[in-house]
Amino acid sequence: MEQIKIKGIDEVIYFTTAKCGLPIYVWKNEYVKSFYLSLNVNYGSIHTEFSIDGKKYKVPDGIAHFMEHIKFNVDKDTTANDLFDPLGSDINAFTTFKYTSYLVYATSKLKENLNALLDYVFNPYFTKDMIKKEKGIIASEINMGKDQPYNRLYFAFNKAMYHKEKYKYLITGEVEDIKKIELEDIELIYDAFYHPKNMFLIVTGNVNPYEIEQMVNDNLEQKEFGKYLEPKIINPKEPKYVVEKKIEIPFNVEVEKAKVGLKIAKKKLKDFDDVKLNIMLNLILSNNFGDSSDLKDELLQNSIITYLSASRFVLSDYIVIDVTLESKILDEAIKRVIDALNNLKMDEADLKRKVNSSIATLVLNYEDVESVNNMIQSYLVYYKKLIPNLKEIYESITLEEIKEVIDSIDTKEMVVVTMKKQK
Amino acid sequence: MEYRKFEYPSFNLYTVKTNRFKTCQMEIIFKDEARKEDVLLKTFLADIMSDCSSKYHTRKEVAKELEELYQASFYGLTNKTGNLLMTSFILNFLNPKFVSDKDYLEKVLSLPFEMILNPAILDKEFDIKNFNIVKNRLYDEILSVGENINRVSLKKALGELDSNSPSSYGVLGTISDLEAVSPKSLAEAYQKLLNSSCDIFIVGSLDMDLVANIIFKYFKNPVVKTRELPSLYVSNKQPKKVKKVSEQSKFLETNLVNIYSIVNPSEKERVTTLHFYNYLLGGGGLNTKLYQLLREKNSLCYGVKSVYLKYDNLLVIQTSINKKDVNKAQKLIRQAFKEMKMGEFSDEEIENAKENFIFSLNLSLDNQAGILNNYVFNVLDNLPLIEDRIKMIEEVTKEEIMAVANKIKPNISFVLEGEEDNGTN
Repeated sequence: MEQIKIKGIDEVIYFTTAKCGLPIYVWKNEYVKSFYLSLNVNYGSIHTEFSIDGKKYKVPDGIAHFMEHIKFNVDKDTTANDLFDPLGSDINAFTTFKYTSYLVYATSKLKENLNALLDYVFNPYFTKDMIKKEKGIIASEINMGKDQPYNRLYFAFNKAMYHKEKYKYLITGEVEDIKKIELEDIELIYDAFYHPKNMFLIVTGNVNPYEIEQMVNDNLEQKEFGKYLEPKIINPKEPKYVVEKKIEIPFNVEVEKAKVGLKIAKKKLKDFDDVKLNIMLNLILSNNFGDSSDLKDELLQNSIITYLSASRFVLSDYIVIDVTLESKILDEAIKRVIDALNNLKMDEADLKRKVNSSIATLVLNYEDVESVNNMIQSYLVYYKKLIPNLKEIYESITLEEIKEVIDSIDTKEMVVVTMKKQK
Repeated sequence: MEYRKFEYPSFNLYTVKTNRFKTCQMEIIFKDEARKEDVLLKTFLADIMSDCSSKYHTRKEVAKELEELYQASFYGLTNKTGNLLMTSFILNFLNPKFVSDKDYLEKVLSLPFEMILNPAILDKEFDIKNFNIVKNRLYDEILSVGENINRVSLKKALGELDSNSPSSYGVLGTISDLEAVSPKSLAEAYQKLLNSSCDIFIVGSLDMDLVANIIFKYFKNPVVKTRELPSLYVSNKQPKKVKKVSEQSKFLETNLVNIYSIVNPSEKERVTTLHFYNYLLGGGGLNTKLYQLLREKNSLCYGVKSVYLKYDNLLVIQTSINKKDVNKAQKLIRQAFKEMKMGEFSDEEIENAKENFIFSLNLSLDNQAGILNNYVFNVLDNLPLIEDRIKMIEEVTKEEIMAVANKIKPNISFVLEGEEDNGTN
């Protein structure tokens, strides 16, 4: 078992691969009673077009999330709850754009919980009846999502930003999409993606990493896995320009909101890898739109906004910046945000303060078993590896590099989505 | 874990020493009787007092100071628990052993007291700029309740209770309540806040004698702490007939809220049996009666839950459904209650509930908020400590759960009708 030392903060993550090919990551915390298990599949809502041995497949939108729902069925009369209820543990699952995660949170009976998790996820039990039944439940979930203003705003923003990227589609799919899902689609997804080699297990908490490895091998050796089909995701080629520069959504909303977004070609920033770029963008956005920024302070003081936040999304060919705000005078607030995006700033003192507080956060992150598990999931999904030298990366950032990133950010490809009260 | 109590003239300090965490948490709690006219004022105060002070003039300055203190966090909030209003100021900070600055502990612990004792008040009025920032934020917060179907529906349903019952008060108040607050009335409310009982709780791997000395050095509140507080438990009136209310909304889904009164529960029922009842009925995840009947067997909804509001002596059921399914959902809810009364749940289900409660209690020992929360209610309500509650849970029987079912009476049925009709599910 490999021990990956997290440099500068005295933490270790254990890594091994089970005999069937399932990667296993373990973070040990002997001070707590709890442990958190996540069995993750590199299959999310955007993976609806793929090829196997040169043959192309297209499945309905929303199928990854649909699979997550029906995966809870173990057989005709048993669900995953029936396996975990006697163990007293909490279980859940979620689907994102890029992966699906099956979770168990418990404080005792590690072996039983781990076995139950592996048993129900690696159990291809699907019937036409269960697919029919689940459609009604998911339709209700889709409508619940549509009643949430931020959900609507987010996907309207994505639709304005992306021509082809599948981030523009709801993770759940639309009601019409899920009506199309058939048993054969589900079986295809399971066979192609629910293979140990396309998945990873993360265990965090009061556990022994070597025992985990043994337990996983003991369980999975009882199961038969076919040859990994090595599906290749077909990624659309996304144009550089945005779809629509300005969209207004009338909605049942009490507080008007907006998103201002930028689409920036990454080739301008080719000197930086994704990890460092992500960190630097985070520092820049926090400095210009966060609680300690001059802009937020001034806009609050002058009653121009009541809420402001910013985030970034680093994709393979470009970066998306997303600034969200709430305001009674949306147009003025948007104008001020655009001005700020055109005049991003950071000085030596800001950089030092932001880097120091971020390094403190690195220590704080290794506290809670659930958060650590989520953090490892993010690294593995977005970077395909752990980042053991984050502290060094933070410490290596110079003001010149920050300025280089700032200089590359232009507002040419910009999206403004406003959500205004329905009349 | 080592629990200690330090008594000072104007507050009590409760400490929990444990080496489980890299961070520490301190909570300063002012508590008073929940009066309708105070609720919004206290919410406003918690916000403005954590946003600025006479030393830190804006939230930006506070945020910068928190960043300097190794990403500490500090915020205020007001909670209504039964008959009490609790205004809390919460500080999370890195254990000083990870920090090279020798004065770090004193610097970080003194910050909340600087904010609490020296608010941005001049000439008996709060600073107008900060006042307006918080007012605007609360204005939007009150309005945004209307954007969330579950929050709107629950607020309206609880609002149908007796208007003098603290259970019917929302901590945010209304827009007209907010409009009535002035920088002067807020400064007066601040004086009243300092007059209320104060307890401080702290958890972490710290030298608690040193912590106590630092807190006493910086928290010189001249007000005497001992004040008589009402019982925590609200006695909600039980109507002769169930109150049925229906309203139209612009949401797609229809939201259903049923409120039930819990009549004269015993102490043991409050601490354990009612939690079991609620768990089996609809509070316990995906194998509950309600979940099975409404979602699994009839595909009526994505989720349905029941919540036991211990200090309000209420049980609430809430779900989002299609509007054509309201009657069917109500029928199935009645069926679930009937099955609970008839004891139609197995020993295995009770055992599962026990396992889950023990898991939840053990889990709460793995985070500071859980430890502090348990300690707060141990002090306020003599709630047994977690270790003792685990023993009590082991002793609950099926007969006790069936007996408590007879104490649960329907009170209000509220339907917020949506626009979407999907046809047959």
